[in-house]
Amino acid sequence: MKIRTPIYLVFVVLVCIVQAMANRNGWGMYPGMGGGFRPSGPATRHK
Amino acid sequence: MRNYDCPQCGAAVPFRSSVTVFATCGFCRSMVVRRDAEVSLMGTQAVLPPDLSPLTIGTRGTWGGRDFTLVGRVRLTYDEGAWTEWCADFGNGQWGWVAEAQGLYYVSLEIAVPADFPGVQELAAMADGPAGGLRLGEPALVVGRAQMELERRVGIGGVTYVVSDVKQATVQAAEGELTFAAVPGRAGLSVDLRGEGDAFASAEYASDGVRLFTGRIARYEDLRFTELRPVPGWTVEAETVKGQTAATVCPRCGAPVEVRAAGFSLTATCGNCSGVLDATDPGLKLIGEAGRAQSEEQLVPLGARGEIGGTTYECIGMMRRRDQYDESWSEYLLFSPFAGYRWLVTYSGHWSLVEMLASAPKENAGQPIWRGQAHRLFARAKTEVTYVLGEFYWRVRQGEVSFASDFIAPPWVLSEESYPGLSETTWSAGEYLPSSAVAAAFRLTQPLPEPSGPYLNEPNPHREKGRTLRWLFPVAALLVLLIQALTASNSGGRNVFESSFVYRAAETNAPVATQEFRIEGTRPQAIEIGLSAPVDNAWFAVDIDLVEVATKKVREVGVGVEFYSGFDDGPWSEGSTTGSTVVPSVAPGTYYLVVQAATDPAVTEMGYELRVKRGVTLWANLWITLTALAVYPVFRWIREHTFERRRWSQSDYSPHAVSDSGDDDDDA
Repeated sequence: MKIRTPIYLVFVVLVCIVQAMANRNGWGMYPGMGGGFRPSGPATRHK
Repeated sequence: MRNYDCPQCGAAVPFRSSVTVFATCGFCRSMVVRRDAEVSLMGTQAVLPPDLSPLTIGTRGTWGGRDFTLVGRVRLTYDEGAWTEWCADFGNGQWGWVAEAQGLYYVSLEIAVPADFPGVQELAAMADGPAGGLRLGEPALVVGRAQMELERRVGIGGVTYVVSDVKQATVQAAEGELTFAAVPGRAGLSVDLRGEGDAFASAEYASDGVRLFTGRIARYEDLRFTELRPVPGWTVEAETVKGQTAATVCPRCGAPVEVRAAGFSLTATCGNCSGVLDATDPGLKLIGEAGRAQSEEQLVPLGARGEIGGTTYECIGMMRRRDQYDESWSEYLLFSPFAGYRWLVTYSGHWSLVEMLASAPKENAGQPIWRGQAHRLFARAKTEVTYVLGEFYWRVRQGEVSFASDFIAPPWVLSEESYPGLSETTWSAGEYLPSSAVAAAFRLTQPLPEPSGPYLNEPNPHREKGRTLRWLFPVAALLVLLIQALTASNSGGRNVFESSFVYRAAETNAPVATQEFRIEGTRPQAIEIGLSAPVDNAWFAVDIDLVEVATKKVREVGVGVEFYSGFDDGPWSEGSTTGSTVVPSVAPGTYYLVVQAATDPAVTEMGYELRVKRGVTLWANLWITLTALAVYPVFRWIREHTFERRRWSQSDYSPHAVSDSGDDDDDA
């Protein structure tokens, strides 16, 4: 516990910094990036 | 204080208290009774057996905010043992008793006997009869025994008490001043009544009538004793106080037997022949068999002393018990002349330090509450003593049966024990003790067995490890939400471009370059490109190149929509006529789009709209962050839960039992 809690605390701080930077700089991963749209058609039960 | 001359030897016999009528000459042990200004001789007092009590005549204490002084004591015996009562002068003519038994102190004050108290009217009628006078003798005991059957409920001063023990008590010896003539052999019927919590009452039916006392059970530290005597072997060397050691020989085999807690222990065992001996008998009368040790070794040797919780204890006894499932464990009895008794209970390498409770804990919804915590039933078992060694504060015998229930709130365990034929139920509380603490306390050189498997009151190690996470994770999650709120609030989500287009299947539909538009701001930001097309049972998509005018740098994205509807068992629809995609980290600047449309081959013409919005909020970042933060707490929770399931798998009363069967059903 004496070791793990500070590690988790550091992790929390890092995650918060990354989250803030990501929001400030518009970072993110989205499915539309780099690829085209692929139609799926109606669900199987309706085809 | 008033001094009288001993009629026998002429030595001063002090009467410190105004309420006492009987004293023993400290010089020649003559028994002296005072009546008015005169004292008369009643014979010679017996010798008190050696004991390790730190109390002595002149010891001061406090009880219920009132100071008292011990002025005398009487040693009483009954068929199962003996105990000591100290006469306490509370001043202003009030007095009471401090009884030492089972490592606890029973403090009581005499109260007036109610006219309707059991046996009072019968005894009054006998006293007024032809025999006359108040010297009822044996009939008083008979009346008391007839009236006070076990479990009888008796009201005293508006409080209900229950008769818990009835025994004939005989004066063995006395010293100092007393409020009655404690002549050796004087018999009385002693009735113990238990009340709510630690309240108790006791009644005595004797030749001089009925006496009634009410009080409470206290611990040594509650009474704040001062003016204590040196305790041989504890606060002074045993040899320095003559007549206070208690080593003698076994009456059967002649082997030496040392009574380590003299005055407190009721039984001792001979280490040589395994005979159980009456420790209250000067000749150590043989009263039973201890049984033979099996393969189990004695982990804490008799006579070993160790400090636990700041108190030094000596191991004076050890017993082995077994339940109906053939599981067996060892219990070591620890003794301190000051703190009384504790038990070290060990099973499968696990240890608990157990203390007898003065009263039954309160209950809520069937769960005993102790130290503010509800304890859950873990086990019920019939137990049997299979082996005893050393000394005990009751007449323990091999084969002694009890019914025990264990309730747990790790690291605590509450145990309720009842005995066949006895109305009394005893409660004890145990706290888990790491084996390393036991070894360190008693400086054991032999390594103790390694603990195996989760034990009923073993602290969940994963709960300990995850304790900080219980508040840290919610705090971290709130922090992340706060950061999200602050950073998201800076994003405007404003439209920077909007335009309509038409797709015609008959045309070549070469890529279309849009008008330029500007993305304002000082930092890179996410933009959202939205597509709206009135598709019906078709799809429509655009491949978009986002081109920065200044650098000609291109970002490729695709966005599409599809919408289908129909009628099967009823009307249905799926998809949407609008869609969007996000382009992250777009630097401020001037851009245009190059749009290449495509659609379902059945569509011949389709109008569509494109919108570009800058500074959009990236919610995915929030979910990713929260998920990342939750990974370790979830891992900890799984470990903790698994440990609890393993612990409760040994119980017939598992709270997981219902969900277990539910899981099985689901699996099936």
